[in-house]
Amino acid sequence: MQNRWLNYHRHRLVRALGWVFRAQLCGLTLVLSTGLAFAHETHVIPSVEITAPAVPDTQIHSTETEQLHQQSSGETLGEYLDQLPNVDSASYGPAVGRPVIRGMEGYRVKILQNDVEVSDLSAMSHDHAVGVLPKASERIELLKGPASIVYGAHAGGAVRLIDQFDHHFPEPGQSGFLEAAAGSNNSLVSSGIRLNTTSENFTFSVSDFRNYTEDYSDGRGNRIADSDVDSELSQFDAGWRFSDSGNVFFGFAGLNKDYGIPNQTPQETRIDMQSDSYTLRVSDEFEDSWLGRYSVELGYVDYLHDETEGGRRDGLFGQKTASALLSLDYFHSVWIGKLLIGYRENELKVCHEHGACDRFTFAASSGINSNVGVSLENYLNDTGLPYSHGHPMPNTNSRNFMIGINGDRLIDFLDAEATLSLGAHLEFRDLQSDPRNIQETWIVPDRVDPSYYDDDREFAGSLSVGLEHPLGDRVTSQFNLSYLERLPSVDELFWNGFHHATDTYIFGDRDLKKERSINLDWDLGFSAGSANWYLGAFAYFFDRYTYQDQLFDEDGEPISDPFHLSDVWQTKQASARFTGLSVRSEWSLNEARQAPLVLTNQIDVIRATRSNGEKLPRTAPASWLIKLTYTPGEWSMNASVKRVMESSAAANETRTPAYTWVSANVAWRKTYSYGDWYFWLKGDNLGDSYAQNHLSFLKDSAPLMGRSVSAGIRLEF
Amino acid sequence: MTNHTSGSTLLVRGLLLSSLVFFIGCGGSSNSESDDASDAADVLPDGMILAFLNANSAAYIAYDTTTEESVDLNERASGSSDSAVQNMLISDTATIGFFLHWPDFRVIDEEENLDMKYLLMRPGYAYQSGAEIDGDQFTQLVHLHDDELAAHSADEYVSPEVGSTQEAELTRLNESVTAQADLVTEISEALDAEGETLCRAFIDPYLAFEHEHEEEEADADASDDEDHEHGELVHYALTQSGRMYFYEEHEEELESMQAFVVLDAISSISDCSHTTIGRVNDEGVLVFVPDTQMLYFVDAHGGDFHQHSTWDLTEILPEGFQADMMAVVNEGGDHDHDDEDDHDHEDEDDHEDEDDHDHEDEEEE
Repeated sequence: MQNRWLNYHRHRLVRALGWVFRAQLCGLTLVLSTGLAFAHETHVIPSVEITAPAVPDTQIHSTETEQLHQQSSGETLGEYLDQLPNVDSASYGPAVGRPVIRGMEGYRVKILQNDVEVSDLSAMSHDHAVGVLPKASERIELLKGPASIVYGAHAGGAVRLIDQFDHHFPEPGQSGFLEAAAGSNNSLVSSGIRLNTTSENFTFSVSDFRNYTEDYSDGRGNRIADSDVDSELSQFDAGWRFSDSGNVFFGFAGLNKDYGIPNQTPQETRIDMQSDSYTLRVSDEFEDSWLGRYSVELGYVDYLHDETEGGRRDGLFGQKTASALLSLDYFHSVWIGKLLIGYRENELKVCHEHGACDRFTFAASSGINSNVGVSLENYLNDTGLPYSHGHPMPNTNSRNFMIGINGDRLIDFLDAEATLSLGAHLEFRDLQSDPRNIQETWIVPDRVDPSYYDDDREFAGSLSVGLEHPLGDRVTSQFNLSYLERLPSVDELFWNGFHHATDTYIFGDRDLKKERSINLDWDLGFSAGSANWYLGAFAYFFDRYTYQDQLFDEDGEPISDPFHLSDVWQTKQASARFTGLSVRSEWSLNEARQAPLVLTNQIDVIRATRSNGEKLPRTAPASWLIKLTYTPGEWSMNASVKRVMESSAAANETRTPAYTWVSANVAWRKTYSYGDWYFWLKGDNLGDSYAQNHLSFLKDSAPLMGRSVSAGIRLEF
Repeated sequence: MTNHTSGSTLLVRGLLLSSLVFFIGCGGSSNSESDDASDAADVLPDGMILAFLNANSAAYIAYDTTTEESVDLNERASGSSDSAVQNMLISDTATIGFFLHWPDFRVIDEEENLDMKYLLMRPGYAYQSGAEIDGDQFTQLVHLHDDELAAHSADEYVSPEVGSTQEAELTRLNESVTAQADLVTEISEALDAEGETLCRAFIDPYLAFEHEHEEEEADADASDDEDHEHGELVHYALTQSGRMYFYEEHEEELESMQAFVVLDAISSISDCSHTTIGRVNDEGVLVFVPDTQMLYFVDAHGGDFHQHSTWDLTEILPEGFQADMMAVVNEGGDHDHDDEDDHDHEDEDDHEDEDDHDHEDEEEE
């Protein structure tokens, strides 16, 4: 039994190491070539047979965080991942960058800290930062298909940040690191420290990471006001090993992120976010059973951010999340996989009141029934839209019960051994809303909708199937087909009001239905001589795709809200289709000092339309990445050129010009008896291009950073 | 209304917290619960001094929205050697009626000027058409000395000498009161169509001042005197039910500008004489309703009028203070929420009062 478990996990681990890393591994062990990139003469060394497929595991794409950091132009999760196939970053200035995966954004991408969903409000709005500091993790996984559905039904899959204690008890001894970095352009100052001490049965760890940047300059030398960021993550972890395989961990993480919003409002807009999370996890393994490793994790997250304009607190967002999660690995008959059973309770409160959002309160009431909702009703009668100047949402309390399961088994398919993967996810939500926080004249009255604040009990069920099989000796195909159901979020249902940071008025829709989609992913890996090819294609078909659409009057003029004269956006649902393709190749061009020079080409294309053919806004433009990688001995070097094409434009959207982004980095690691020294130097946008992110609402006021050079040092022991 | 916290919720949370408390000691503060209330005072627009008076105890507090500090006016009056400050003292509750705001237009060195003043009227005073206010009908006349409130005693206005400053002031005061009475009549008639009863009517005196200047210049050659024409000035009308209506005057008819706004938590206003509307900036007013002990900031800042913000008096006044009435003395400063407010107060800046405040702060916002 144990051997089977080891083999399974080894297999998963090899697959999860990530394609970039493994391509270099394969380059060393399989086929190496000499000569320049386009030389005809090649030298083939004897191949070594390995069992791993030539195509990366497309269900689990895992990359070391340090490697992502070297490629990243910033410190957001989106920037860490945006060089991966069909991954982009939805930025809102340098502080905010949520990953957009295969065109899926917001609630369609789940972000996990180990196995538990990160409790933040980053999916709610583009200006809300993700509640993680990616550099504090050890590796980051992208999951899709059955590997993802066990965590939830998300068309964009899941992003999983894995820390040092994920199902792993450290070796006895002392370890840790000290690091510091500095950069030009935005005056980056960064520091980090981690200290671990572990005995046979106990382990303790403390760490602290700080990143501070000032306003940056774009490629034209313009200083971008209010683009500063100050973030700090403090962590404490303690663990107790109560048996050979069993342990208990407690963890605390406090993340503060104070950042400017480089929008066009005349006064400085800022967000100050604080997230405190507490985790208690017990894990062990069943002996001589079809059940393998299990863990029970209890979590509590207290999240709060305020939004200020000119120093006044105009907005306040608070969320408290309590969760319990049972994770269980199993091997039953021919199936091997994972079961998750979770409960999550989420209390969300939102305040909008000019200069008066210091705390959450219940609004005063006159006790006169006719006053309830009378102002909202006036606007509904006058304009056809139920404008509100009160708090934009009722307090909500949602309780989610979920169960997810996936499993793999070997089957014979087309006279070859293939892996069949299945996954399912069930979710039940009990949603309660309490409008007592809303000023009475802005409450939706019974006269308008008698069931507006009624409890909702909803169910969503999703399925996924995957098939990995060889097509000959050198080609491997992986195919995933998923049917996903997503419950509308509470803000999609209830939001009715102004949002300062985005300077927009947004209407939710209380009558939204479950968003449904059929997702097809096909990945093809091809190994030929000194080259590995990867082709990833996807087609996602949505029924009731939930999105925000700007409102225009009969003359085609943008509708403005009556209080702030801002653009008005309405949450809608429509059929939509996302298709895309990523082609990636890696050639081992030359070998020097027993290390290959690897040339990577990657082309990403996405198309997103509604069923009527209209393009959806903020769809990532096509891009072409060319990268050279060389890792001789203690050195690691990368140089890349990324050409981002001119974007297409949806209705009422402007095109974003093409740009070229040149980056390079070099790192050196030296091992001494007391530890490893690690130095790195990197440059981003070395051509000082004026670049705009088409996915950003602030692409005009906050173009991407101009040329920057940064360097860092780390001592690991 | 839903039951917000169920038993199972508490159970799960209790289990979680009890587990966690074991590790982290005892609790600590919560991010999502009430935060530091120390920031709470940083909310009222700058440029106003709000005077609050309790009719039963004569407790008298001034709150400066710029410095966010409050001062006990009686205490200050008692401790001052300045007679103007001493005149602020209110010791006899029998003299307390209500505050009457007086935007005082006058000519100084051949230039027109406007200063906000208020009077503490004696109980029993009520406006009667044709009857004039004299020194027997109020207790004190308050205005700004530099940045602080000071007062003239009503005694100074009893039987004023012919041609004296006091006589001129009383004349201007009565003209203002008559104009306000006309405004009340005009708005009350408009409100009849809504089935509402007027509680307070208000026109921004600063804007009216400028508006009349502009009209005088534009109509310098006009033969007919368009008396009582307020043009596009906003006419604020607060009803006894707590609704605020907004009118503009066109061809001597009041026209509704938009839908009414309902002020929070008001079932009815029991004493309109103690209810106040005062200027905040060109596009907004501050409303005090003693029944709710709340301040309401109603403004438009470019769009529709709406209840922009509210403040509970407990946020700014000493604990336990019950305000029965409020007076607003301001310098017309703009609320700093919006920069859309581009109204220029150059005229006001140009007119310095020899003993009163200047209006420089208006430009700072």
